[in-house]
Amino acid sequence: MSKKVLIIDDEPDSIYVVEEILSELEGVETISAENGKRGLEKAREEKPNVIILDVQMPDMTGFEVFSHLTKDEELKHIPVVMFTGVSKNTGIGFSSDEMKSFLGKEPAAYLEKPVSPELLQKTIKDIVTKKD
Amino acid sequence: MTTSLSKEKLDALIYLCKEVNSNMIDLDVLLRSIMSVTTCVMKVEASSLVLIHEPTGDLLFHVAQGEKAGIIKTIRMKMGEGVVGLVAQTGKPAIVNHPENSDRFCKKVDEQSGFKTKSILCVPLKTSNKMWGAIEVLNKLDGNNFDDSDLIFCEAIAFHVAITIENAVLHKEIVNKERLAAVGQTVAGLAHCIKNVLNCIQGGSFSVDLGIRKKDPARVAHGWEIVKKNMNFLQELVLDMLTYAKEREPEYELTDLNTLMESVCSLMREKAKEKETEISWNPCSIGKVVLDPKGIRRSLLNLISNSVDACEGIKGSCIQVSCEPKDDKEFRIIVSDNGAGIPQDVQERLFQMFFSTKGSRGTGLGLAVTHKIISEHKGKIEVDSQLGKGTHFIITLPLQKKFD
Repeated sequence: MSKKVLIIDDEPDSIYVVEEILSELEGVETISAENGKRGLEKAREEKPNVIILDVQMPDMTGFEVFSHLTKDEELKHIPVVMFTGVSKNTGIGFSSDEMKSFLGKEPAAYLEKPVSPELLQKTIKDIVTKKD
Repeated sequence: MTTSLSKEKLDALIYLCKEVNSNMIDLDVLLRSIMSVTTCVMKVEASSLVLIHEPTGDLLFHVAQGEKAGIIKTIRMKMGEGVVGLVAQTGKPAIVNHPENSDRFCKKVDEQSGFKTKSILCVPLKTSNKMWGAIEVLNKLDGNNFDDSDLIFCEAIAFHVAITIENAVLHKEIVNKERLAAVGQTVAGLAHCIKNVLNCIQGGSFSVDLGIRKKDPARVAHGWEIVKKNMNFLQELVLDMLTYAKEREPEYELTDLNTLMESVCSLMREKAKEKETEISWNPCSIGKVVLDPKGIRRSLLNLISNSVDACEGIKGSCIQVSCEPKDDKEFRIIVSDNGAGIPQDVQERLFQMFFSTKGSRGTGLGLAVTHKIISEHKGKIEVDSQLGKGTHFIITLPLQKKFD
């Protein structure tokens, strides 16, 4: 059975390129949502195996979406990959530990844009195969 | 023992206090001025202000007055060397009226400069927690010895000078710190924006490669569109950055308002159509005015582009652009939409650099740049917005029909 990856990002181009990069992974299908609210709805409807979550989105940020996900009994087990241009090096990003204390739970991975297609593929592959 | 200061010295002190408080801009100019007054009022042949050179601990003649000032300024003293070195080391003032009989006197300066020292008064430059150097005055013109009255006067001056130096150093540190913080914030804001764009360019290229490998022209075309769009975005970002960063005068031209507005509106119509909104523009009767057409065009593109975003997904939304004279001195350009409206807290931060509510699509530069361009025109930009009802941006500019 193929694994479902939900991409939540406000930028259609960004969704498209992630879909393209993941299209090379066998047994992985992608679905997407263009904002946090829609993303949470889709997560409930589709029960994806992984969520790739942009941080800087209007209305509801990726951190807020993550926070909702972790509090939802049905969704809290889904691994989340935070995917953002917010940089850890420039001091306005978040380290894993800070994320943990800030959000109560750590995301499965934290990928900084621009990400190499290989790293994105490997990150998702590792997560979906680990579950098996 | 009571020692009183002459009226001339008191006047000089009052003058110096005023100088110190009024001229913080150039410390060196201030110090030279203080030493000139000191030399004059104390009626001495020469004076100098010696500062501790932090890296080496040596004493440098920062200001020197008198016949041999030029040579004196090239001389360095060691801490503890000579009278001035001892004063800087111990923090205690010294009067040496017959230096030839004193162990403390160092002949080096006289030998190197050709000056003949007959009497020395030296006071430390110190603040509560730091020694900065010393002030030295040499040879009273009337040939008399230095006395307690001279010492008190000199110490009073040194006290003000030390505080002035400390304030200047602290001020410089604060300015540097603020500048670094501002640079850091700017770099972080830009980096975030550029990284998003780079991600799309990298992903777009990946799609092009994939399309070529799979012989799928539609994929190549889509990937290539993404690359081009984001390259364009990057170009706009660089232009906005430069506009924001550079102090510039508007490049004024006599410009036909209707032509300018029509070209901006027609450029934005395609984007508006994509978001299912419309732009309407009514020609005005103002005619030609003096303004920077490139700057105003950029400002209007930013405003209308924001309005289009605010109208996205709202049925029956439209954007109206109009111009009207306010009085015989000013005119207004108004961009109105019946879109989502702007919450109060966002309105307050609207023109702030890197503030954006648009997620990945916003650079947070557009309105900051617009605000700067309008200010450079000596105009103003105001916003009137109601949540759920829409927004009016009102630009008021000087109405100048011809070049002066």
